[in-house]
Amino acid sequence: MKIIKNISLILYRCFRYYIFISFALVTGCDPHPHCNKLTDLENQYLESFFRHLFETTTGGYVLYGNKPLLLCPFKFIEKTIPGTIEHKDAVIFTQGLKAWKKLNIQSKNYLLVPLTNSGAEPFEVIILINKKAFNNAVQNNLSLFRFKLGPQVNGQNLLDSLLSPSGFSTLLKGHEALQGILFGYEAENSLTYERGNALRKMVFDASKVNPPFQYNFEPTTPEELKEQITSYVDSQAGVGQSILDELADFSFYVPENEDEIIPKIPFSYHTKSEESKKLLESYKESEKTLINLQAQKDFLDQVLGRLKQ
Amino acid sequence: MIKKILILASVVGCIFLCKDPAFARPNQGSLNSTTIMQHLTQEEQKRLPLIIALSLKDLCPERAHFASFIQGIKIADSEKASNYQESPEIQAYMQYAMQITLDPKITKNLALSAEYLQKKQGAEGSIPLINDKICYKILKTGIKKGIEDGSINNVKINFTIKGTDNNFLAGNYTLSGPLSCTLSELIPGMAHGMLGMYLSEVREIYVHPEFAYGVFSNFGNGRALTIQVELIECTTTDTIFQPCLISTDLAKFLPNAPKETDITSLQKDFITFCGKASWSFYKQHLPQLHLDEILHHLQSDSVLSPENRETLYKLLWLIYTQRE
Repeated sequence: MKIIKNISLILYRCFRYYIFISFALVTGCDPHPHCNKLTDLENQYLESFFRHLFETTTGGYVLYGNKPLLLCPFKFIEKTIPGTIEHKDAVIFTQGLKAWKKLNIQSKNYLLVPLTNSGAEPFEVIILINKKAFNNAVQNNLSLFRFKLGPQVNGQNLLDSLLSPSGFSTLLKGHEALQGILFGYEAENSLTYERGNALRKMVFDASKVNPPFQYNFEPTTPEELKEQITSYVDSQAGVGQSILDELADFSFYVPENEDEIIPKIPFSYHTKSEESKKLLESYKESEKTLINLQAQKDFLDQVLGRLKQ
Repeated sequence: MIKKILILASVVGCIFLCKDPAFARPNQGSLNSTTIMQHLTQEEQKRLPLIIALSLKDLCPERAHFASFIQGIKIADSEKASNYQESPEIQAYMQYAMQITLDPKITKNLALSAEYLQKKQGAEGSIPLINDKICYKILKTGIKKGIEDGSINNVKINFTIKGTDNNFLAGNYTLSGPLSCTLSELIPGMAHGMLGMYLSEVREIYVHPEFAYGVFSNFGNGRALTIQVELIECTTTDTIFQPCLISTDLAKFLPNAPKETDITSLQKDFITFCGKASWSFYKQHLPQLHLDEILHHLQSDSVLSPENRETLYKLLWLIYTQRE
């Protein structure tokens, strides 16, 4: 009885494989094109890479949302202490990136590449770009980008410049608002952040170096910071008061209930602004998609499929 | 017609096929049920002690610190602890060291400051207080004992501060006459250099940026400072005072650091910690490793070959993904 059962199982499988092969012949399709290029272990490296990227960074919002860009730095394995979080990041990202390079996928809509390292830095940077969202972010704020970076700037040439060696560290240095827009925080929040940070710098530059007196350390708590900035504005006959007013409703997101899906994108935003509310909602949607995706057995296929688009 | 039937049959077949475990991609779940060693070849398993030892050597490339690193490994082996947490001091040191590494300008400033201070310390009449960090020279001797060690001193001083290229950075001579303050308010390196000064004495104090405004400061480009100070008046109180000689840059990350915290000892603690944490990590996941064998390989001059590095990365990946 058992033998008959086994034979029928073998015949059943053969039939399925026959059907599969005929389907492949008829349509000329390759079911898992990347399988051919990678070993089983490399496929596992790649799967753990994407799972880790989505769990620990906002990379998923680039791929399954409207976040234009992710910069994910990780240290070299040799420069980190085994057992630490950064060592784990280094191992999983290094192995995954190696497998990803081997696949050599060219996508129309997305870009996942290691940023060129000058050799001086003890870390590598993964850059993940949603080209459409990137172009939209630049296009929607073109005047601001051109005011800061020059009149010839557009989405494409900015992307090319940023991807050149040391493009990120030089081109956007000091332009916090532009960085914020490209990282997906929207213009309003990014501009408030830049203005607020300029005020903070003014306060500390005025107080920390006063030779021959010793260095005044920056406050360690938000309350101390607020107190110091307020007293500075008071002492300057109200200079900076408008920025203080602007910062009044600018804070981190506080979830309304315990079981709420919280996007892992910590940034200060205008709590009463409609633009910010929409932004937050879109990130919550992306987070839901990602939670669902992480539970799928064909997680890697789906991600690679997305990256091929 | 036949082609259509064939396509339909193929589609149905593919649906079945997707359910077949033979075609399922091996995933992290299947990895959990196996041991790490099963994923390594016999040859790789044999080379494991050498690979681990050489990877540990990678972590501590400077021979000067190797003894502290080995000490950490030995401590971890004897304590058999599975997990070591960084103390706040070590975390602060790690942040500080990371920031220094990230900016080549800072590394250059540190080198220039070290060179400048070595030169000043080696000059005739120089009195070192902290080796290669703070020293001074008496330019004009005083008349009467002024600042006493260990007490709060209210002082009246004239001063100038210059950078490493002798450019003037700050001073009070042309501005508002002598400056009144307490020693505890001054740059730590300057306060330390003024201890024991006589009235009317003029000293030139050479201070590492670590004990002034820090290597990240724009003041004096974050390099060593030359502070010339003349003591005009001095009154002493009963309150005990010693300048806090914790590095300014380190204090940013560790605001409540004890006074005796210094970078050199923190660096040593950090390296010992690296040894402890690394060995406890490997020992926890690969209990078959023997310390003596690892120590033997650590003494060798070999370095990790690309092939061994690949095995190491595979091993580490297996350890991390198996834990999940």
